Amino acid sequence: MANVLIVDDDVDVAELSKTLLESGGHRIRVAHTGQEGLKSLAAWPLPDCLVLDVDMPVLSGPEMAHEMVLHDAGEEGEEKIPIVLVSGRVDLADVAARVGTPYFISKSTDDYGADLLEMLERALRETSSKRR
Amino acid sequence: MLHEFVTTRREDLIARTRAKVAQRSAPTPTENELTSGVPLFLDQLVAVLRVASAKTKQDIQTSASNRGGELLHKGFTVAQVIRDYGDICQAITELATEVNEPITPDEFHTLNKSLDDAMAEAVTSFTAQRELRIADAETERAGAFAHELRNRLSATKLGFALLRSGAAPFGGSVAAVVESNLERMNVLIDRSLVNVRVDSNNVHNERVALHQILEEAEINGTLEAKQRGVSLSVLPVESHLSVNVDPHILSGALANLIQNALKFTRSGGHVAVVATVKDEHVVIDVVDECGGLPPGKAQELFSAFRQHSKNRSGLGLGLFISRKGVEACGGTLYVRDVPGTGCVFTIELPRAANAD
Repeated sequence: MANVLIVDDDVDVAELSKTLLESGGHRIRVAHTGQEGLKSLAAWPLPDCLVLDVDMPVLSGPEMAHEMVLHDAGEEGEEKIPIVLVSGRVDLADVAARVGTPYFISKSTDDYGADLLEMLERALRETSSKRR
Repeated sequence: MLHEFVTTRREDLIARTRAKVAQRSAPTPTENELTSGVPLFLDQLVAVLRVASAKTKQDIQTSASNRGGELLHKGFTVAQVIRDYGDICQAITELATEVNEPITPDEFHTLNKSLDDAMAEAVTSFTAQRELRIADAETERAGAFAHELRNRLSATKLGFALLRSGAAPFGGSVAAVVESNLERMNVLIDRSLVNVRVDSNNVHNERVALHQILEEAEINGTLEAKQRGVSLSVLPVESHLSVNVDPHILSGALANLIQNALKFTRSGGHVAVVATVKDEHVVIDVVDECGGLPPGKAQELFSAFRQHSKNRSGLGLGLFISRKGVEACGGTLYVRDVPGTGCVFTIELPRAANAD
């Protein structure tokens, strides 16, 4: 079980993702803008993983990730909090490369729910093994 | 040579042209036009005349045309370019007459030809730029539509997967989200079809009893009102009251206004649809309790891609399309802000004559 922060401006997608990840046994917090996401990071114990949408008002996903680097908000011990980038954008792989995360999923895949769970598990597993 | 005369008398010609431009009533002279535009136009004309004194007719036309198009790219309007060139032409001939500077028939012809070509190119460039802007707006609209449709489809698929796997029960909040997203896709497609019909002039206005439109709007709005915890009232109208409209387009526009009103009215609030007769018009007011608009925002509401919802759901195209739809039905759509309370969106349509 992991603590996961979902940051997505689409209220429906955020709530459904929360239900999905909770069904996978995880504890979920939700924010709807990058700015809310940063506040959530500051106000709570750091999550084990971030599920981050790309296009959001106020502060986008990549901007939030950049702010995390600037303020070391993504640091926990020696490893950064893994970010699973989610979006319907066709250039998602490029955006993920710029953000510096190997974990990303297109929201328009046939089975987004299963893919998201699988990608989250992979991000948690790989980060955990690095920490060991 | 004419270009030498214009060069020598440059300052005088600038002053005379500025005086003419300043006196003009339409298009209203701008500071940029007076300070930068007039000297620029005159210098360009000198360059064209200089080319004309040495080169062929084709060279003159090319040179003049290029400059006419270039002026538009510098931010001057097509009306400014045409009127300012006309003023310069007048200033040159007036000054030449005053100081007895002979302008040969050839030079006069070249002067007029240069102006004509520059004006023609300005108009052509303007048309091309406008068509490009329209095409860009269409592409942006189609892209935004596809993006929003994909978002709603993604949410629906995710919700459906949860229901199918048993992770969420049928009849619970996930099912409600799926239902809501299906409805939003339905609205998106309907709205898009209305837009296509209006843009392609596929509008079929016919005599329609107003009560039918209102009853349909009430039936469609009631479910959403219930979901949002808002009460909706649609006051009945006399059965003989009719309008000449395309019923699908008007219904789409009214449904969108009601949907917006429900969306922005707090839970527990009220939305009213009230139709009245004013002279030869039928007036349909959609009255919400959104709390009122920030100052100066009323007209912005009808621009494309304006997002007014805190959760940013939707495209921001609804009111833009609604206004186009109402106008295609021969009516007008406008909004009145009631500060601190809400908004009144009004559809005003010509009343159909009573059937014999």
